[in-house]
Amino acid sequence: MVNDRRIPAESGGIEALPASFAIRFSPSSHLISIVRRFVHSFYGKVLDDAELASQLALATHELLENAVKYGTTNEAGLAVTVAELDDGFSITVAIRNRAEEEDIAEARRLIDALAGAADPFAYYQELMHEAAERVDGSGLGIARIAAETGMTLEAAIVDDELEIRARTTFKPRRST
Amino acid sequence: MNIPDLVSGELTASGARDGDSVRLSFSGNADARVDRELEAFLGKVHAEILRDPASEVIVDIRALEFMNSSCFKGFITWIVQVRRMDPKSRYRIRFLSTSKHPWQKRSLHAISYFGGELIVIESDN
Repeated sequence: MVNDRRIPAESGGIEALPASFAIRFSPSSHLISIVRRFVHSFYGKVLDDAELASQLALATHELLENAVKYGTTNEAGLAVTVAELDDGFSITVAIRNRAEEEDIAEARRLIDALAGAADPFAYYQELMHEAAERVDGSGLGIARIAAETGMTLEAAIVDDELEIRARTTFKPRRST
Repeated sequence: MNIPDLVSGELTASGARDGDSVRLSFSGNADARVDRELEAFLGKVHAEILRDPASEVIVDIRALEFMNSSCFKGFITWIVQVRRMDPKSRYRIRFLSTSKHPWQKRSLHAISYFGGELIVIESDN
């Protein structure tokens, strides 16, 4: 159960929380960019934090493209959830889609490697070197989220679908 | 330059010679629809400079709203090509970026670390 709460306006100009949403659609490249722009604009407004909104948009885009590339159906679910914590908010971008077992295993391997890496940025650099030699795809999308946004990643199977979640926390700025 | 503009999907890219340097301008949205074309465009720029050397390529991405990871890979591949050149012939790659698009700072930090002394980053902030 998500426990959303409205953040008082006096805490920093945030206009409207709760601010969670979920959609299920057939994510073409064109639609992915539209959804990314929505996430960027919407969370830029309600969180009043352009940097964080940009990070959420990047995670949304990369995860949705991942779903297109590795999905076995033309459907994917996107959920962005803002949940209250004791000292702020947790924000999760989750993408769900059906995928082949081997691709699920590869996604989990990569996410585990990122989680276990002493320095995710250094691990990302290793993957960038590998990407230069790849013919097909970059293999960078998931690692880019971790390294460039600092969001933590996890993978789970939910209703027979692979769900990849990128999570961060947010503390509203206090007005002076 | 003998390189046609790239106009595809929501991306536009163009190149122009300016004395000893080359200026590339990108605008729009670089997503999965254009990754191969973008990589090919950068490959042509590199080939052109091998034919007619330049000391620097200025890459203006200030009007680039977003770049996905597969397009990002195109720049990585290009940097590796430059790095493999004879050190005396290598050219610098100077990125012009904007704080208006926060992803640029984060992604260019990764590119700068990857490319080392070949890369120069300028931001408008």
